[in-house]
Amino acid sequence: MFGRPLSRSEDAGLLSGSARFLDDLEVAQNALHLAVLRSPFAHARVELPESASEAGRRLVLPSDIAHLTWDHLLPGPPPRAPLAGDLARYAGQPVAAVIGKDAAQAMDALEHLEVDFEALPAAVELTDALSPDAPLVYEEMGSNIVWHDASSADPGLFDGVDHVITRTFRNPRLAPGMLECRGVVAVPDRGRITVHVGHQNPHKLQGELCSIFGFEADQVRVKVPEVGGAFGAKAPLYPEYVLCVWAALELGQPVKYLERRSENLAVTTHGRGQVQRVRLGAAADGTLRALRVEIDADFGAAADIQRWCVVLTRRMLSGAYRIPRIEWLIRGVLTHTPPVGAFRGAGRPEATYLIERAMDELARELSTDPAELRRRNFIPQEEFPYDTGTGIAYDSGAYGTALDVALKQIGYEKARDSSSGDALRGVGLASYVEMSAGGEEYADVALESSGDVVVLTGTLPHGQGHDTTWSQLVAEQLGLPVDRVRVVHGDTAIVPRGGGTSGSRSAVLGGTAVHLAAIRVANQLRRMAAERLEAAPGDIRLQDGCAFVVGTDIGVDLVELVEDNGAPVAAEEVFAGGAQNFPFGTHACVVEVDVNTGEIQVVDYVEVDDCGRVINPLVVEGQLHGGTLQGISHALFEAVRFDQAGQLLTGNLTTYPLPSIRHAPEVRCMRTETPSPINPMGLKGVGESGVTGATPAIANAVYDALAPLGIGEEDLTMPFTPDRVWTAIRETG
Amino acid sequence: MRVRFRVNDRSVEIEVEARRLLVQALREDLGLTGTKVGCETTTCGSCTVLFDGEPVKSCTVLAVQAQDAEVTTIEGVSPGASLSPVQEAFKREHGLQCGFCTPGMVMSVVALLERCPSPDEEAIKEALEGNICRCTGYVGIRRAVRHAAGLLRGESPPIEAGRNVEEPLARHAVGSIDIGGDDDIEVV
Repeated sequence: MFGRPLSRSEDAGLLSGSARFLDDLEVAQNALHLAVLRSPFAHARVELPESASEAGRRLVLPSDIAHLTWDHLLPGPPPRAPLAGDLARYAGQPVAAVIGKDAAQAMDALEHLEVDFEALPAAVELTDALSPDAPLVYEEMGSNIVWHDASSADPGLFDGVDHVITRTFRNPRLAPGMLECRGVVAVPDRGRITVHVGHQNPHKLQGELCSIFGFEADQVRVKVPEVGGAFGAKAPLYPEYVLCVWAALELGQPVKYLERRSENLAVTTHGRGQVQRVRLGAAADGTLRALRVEIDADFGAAADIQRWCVVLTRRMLSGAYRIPRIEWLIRGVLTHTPPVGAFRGAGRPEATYLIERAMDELARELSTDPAELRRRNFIPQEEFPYDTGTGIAYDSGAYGTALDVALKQIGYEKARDSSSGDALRGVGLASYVEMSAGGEEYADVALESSGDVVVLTGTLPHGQGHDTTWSQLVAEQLGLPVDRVRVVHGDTAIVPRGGGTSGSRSAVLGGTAVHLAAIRVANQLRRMAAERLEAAPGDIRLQDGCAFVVGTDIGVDLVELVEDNGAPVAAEEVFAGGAQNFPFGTHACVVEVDVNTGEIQVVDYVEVDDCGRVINPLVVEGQLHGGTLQGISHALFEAVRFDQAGQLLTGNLTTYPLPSIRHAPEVRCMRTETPSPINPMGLKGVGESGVTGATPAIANAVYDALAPLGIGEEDLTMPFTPDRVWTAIRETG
Repeated sequence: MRVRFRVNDRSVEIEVEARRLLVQALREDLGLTGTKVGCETTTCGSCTVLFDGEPVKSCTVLAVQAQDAEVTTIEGVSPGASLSPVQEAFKREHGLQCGFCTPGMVMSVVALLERCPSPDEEAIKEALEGNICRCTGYVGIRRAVRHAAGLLRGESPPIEAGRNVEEPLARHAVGSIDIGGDDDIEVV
């Protein structure tokens, strides 16, 4: 079963409409509705009415919930509370809430709330927030710079280096745009509460709610139904979750919050948002000598998540290359905008963009072929594990193979041949290295007397096909058909612990935990069968639901062994995977720019990705396809934009366009397999690889196409929408 | 207001406010939660149903407009336990991941293949550009449409999932791995 591209058992329910997402649950359909009044201003003093209640409606004010804070959970700028209090720090921040019997009533009630806002000057862009007289997001911090990560600095870093380029790159802020907006239903029951929520990490939320409300673990149950996409943004603790739990306990009835798309695009955490000043130096023969980066990262109004993302950016600055000396200065900057979080890649796509764009710019400076420059500087296979000098060591890699295949498949030599005056063609490469999360994960595998296997896993899919994939691992060890395996996840009352799904951790940590637990169960069964059949355990093979003595047809049904046992034959495992592992690959693409309209076509797109050994190649390929289109879209179409006053300009799906099938090029995916030496199956993560390689590949192709017109980063930055490209062409023309 | 129409070959009659959307009526009054709501601007297509055979976004149709209409939702695509050819094709070609856009996407594909049994690339794009998917990159979806078209034309039988997935081009060995612990029995 390992390595088989099985179609997914999950699909029947999803395809027939019977699978239940949050708002499909009966308890959601019958709950009271929480609607949130949000600050219309990026920075404002807030004056709320004193009284709390009218017939049929319930107003939630900061005074009601003054005790519900989570400053103690996280260090850094206070305060953390569900409602803004008397100062709003971003447009969209919750200032009050209303509970009504249905959505319409709750929203109607919001409009009748008498709330006074006094708008204050706001620091919206990074430059505003960094200026000497900037309005401060937190006065008590004395500055908007709340994160500082700096290496030592040698003023002579580039002394004697033959060629040095200096560039500034911009990674726009992006919205995750999952199809299912956030939702939560809190259901109270005699001092206990069940929280149904679309979430990536139920155990984390359980812990947070216990801490905030002073509950014991058995008083809070978090249950996650089907989740319609997450991409990192359904992991944080959001104020609405706290508000719903409080309201449900207060009113003794289920209370639901269901985010509208306009809210989703505003306050469900955005990602990216970095300005990067880069100096890259090489010897005359193109061998890299030194890299210095200064990065300003937009944190929005809170540092909580982005400060982790920028650490990941710093760790991945070396990319696929041997760079003897790397220096960095990374600042996290608060702005009067919604808090920025982790979005698929979470800091690593930004690092990949930085180094891959810099390599192309350096190649242009040296009049060297960009592919050749990369090959010359790749970390050679014999140098793994490779310490990058940025706080991380890569486990394994074979970067040259991926590049060579990608070049051949894209037809690199002839890629620009069809370029004409009106339709400029460019070819772009990105040789990325990704980092997939370390840590630990829990699994329990139990063979029951029915002959079914029940797997408890601490991971939690939102589209990644874990049920099928973990079933394959169990079927492999126990010699059972995959449809005899049932995977249980997302319920803190049934699964005792877990780390959820994020950071491409699930197969490496969760899958390995399932694999090891399954081996232990298999070994138990072999020992039991051996005793019963008077053979040695090493001579027992598990196949077709039986335990056979190898080379004979003497065997016993596994079900009988379970019956003999008097209980399910089960094993638990916590796999402490420890260090991160490093997927990698090369993406290559050809674009064509219509100089008259500014439109860009992706003519061809090829990727060679390596995530080590693969349990289900169909699922893995799907992850790459989806991530790659997101990355392409980030380069060509998407950016969160605010006006000068901090008003969101991209608040619906017409102003923040998610790519449709019309915008999706046919992507050719190939794989190499370089196992990770740090887990037994040799797996690496893959969920975030596509988005990491795609954005710089497209950007490099676009700048390559526009190079004859002298257009560089100072003239045009992402997203390369037709109007921006057209304007850049006219202005440099 | 009272409105009477047919949903999935069944007659229904419900009492609704004038402002009630068809998608709300389907999901909340009729319990057909397969159809989803994903936006407020008629953009995402998660709410797509068939309305007198045409794919429409039910978030932009008032329930009262459905008077005397024939509505088909995802629940009506495969009565009974088995999957229809379109659904089977989606499964085999991994044309869905989180599944939220899937009901709407399937309805659009069903409508497309009913009127156009052999759609070309442009016909597929035009039929599906109103259904947004954030997970698949549309590669699996395009494969599913072609596969479903073949099934409906009575051509080749259902194909093994993953036939489009390539074998890895190179496999590198990296030593042996010690998982430790007390279970040393070799794994087959």
